[in-house]
Amino acid sequence: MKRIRLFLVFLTCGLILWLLQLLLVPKYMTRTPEGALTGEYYAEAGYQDVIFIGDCEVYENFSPVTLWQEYGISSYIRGSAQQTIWQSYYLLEETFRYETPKVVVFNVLAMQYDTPADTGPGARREAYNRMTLDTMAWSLSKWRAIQASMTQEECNWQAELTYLFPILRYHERWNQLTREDFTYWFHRDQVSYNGYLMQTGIKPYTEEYLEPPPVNENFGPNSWMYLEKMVQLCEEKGSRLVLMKAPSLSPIWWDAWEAQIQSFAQSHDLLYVNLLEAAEEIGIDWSRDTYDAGLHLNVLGAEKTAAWFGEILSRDCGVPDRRNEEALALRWAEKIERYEQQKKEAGL
Amino acid sequence: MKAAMKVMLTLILSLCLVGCGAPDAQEQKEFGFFYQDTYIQMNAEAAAVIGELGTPQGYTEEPSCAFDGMDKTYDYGSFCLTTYPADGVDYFYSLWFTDETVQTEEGIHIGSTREEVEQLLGADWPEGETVRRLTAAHSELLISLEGDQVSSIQYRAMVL
Repeated sequence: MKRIRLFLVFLTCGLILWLLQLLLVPKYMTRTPEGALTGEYYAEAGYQDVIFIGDCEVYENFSPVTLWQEYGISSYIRGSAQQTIWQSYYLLEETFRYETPKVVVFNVLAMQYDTPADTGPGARREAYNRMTLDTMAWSLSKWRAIQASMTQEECNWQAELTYLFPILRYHERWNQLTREDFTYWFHRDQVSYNGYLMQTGIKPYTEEYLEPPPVNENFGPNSWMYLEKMVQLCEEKGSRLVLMKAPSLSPIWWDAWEAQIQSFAQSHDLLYVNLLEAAEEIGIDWSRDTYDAGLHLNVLGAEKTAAWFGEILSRDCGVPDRRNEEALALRWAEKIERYEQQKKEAGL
Repeated sequence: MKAAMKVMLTLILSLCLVGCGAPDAQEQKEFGFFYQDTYIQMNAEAAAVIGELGTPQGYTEEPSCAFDGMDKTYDYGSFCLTTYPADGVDYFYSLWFTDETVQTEEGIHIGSTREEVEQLLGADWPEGETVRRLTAAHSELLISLEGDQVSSIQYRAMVL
């Protein structure tokens, strides 16, 4: 009897902690929806032929809806804000637990960050890490991603515990809770369309961005190691890896970086597509197809890149047209309805 | 039973306190750069210093990816600097030289020779390396060589 009571005490305390954690963690619904992207994948896993992986240059520059509508390609974008290559690798490793896509497309901009120390101010890095990792499902891949992502100041057992039990990180939010925290205490709305975060604003690109030249024009050893691991993983699983540079004008994609990626792709017999160079051919109008002056595309631009890139996926990579699969078509039809509604509400 | 409850409550409170008050960065000097009488230090608040520097020759800004606020770049002719926003305040993030008229506190400028850098820093330049990375608390100074001469000098706030 005593043991049962003790068990019930433990159970009750565990339940209270779990409920508190659900309440206190950021919801990423109305503010910074980028933080919700990683977690949205799991409901859509298992039927994708193409997986895009990378940072904001992926989840804002390609519309999977267009890929489906024009080519019957079922795709998902596993993107997150300032996703680093080690995070991309472990997200990809995790993806293979759920499905084996025919093609994996990796956006190579992440090669610029060799270690967490290269990625910017500390508080911001930690916030980006949380946005990518907090909603990742539990697995060995997540644990490895945490280990690889933690900043040097975070490398202690307390910080590791905060990734395992986010309540330890967010308990201070008790006095910052908003209506959103209560509305989404037990559920989340979909913020993306298969990982694509739609932007509907228009802010033209007007002038060249000032950016420091790369101190070291060569990508670092850690970046190369993860890219090699990505190649090996895709080979083992039988997926074709395609390297891609998304069409964004900032951060600047330096010529020296382009040369290294071209050389790597050639030596590993990989297809590399630079959509920035092809922007004119794609038809990107920098006065209309971007919502933030050339950093990312709005939905008009994202549809153009998807339409152009879909041809390559279909023709050169042999990704099949699955529009005749009834169940899948139904699934996409629901997404398209929501997608078109959002465009309509934005007057597009 | 009461003892078990006490133990559990203590455990919950202890767990909730873990992670409170992240370890403070040690009081170490950050890298910075004197321009005339103005000192620009990485990770320091930018507004007052930007005011002291006067009107820049060029200025661009871009939205901070997934964060509120803008990443800003100021061009002062001989150097450019960038800021990042946090909680509504701009902080210095990076600074790079664009010509040889400005120099680091150590006296290194674009065009300095390898030997001069070695003398000024009091250490040999590692053989075969083209970049020297000097680190402080939360910032770094990066010096690049092209041939035997300094081709690039950058200060940068960094993650620890």
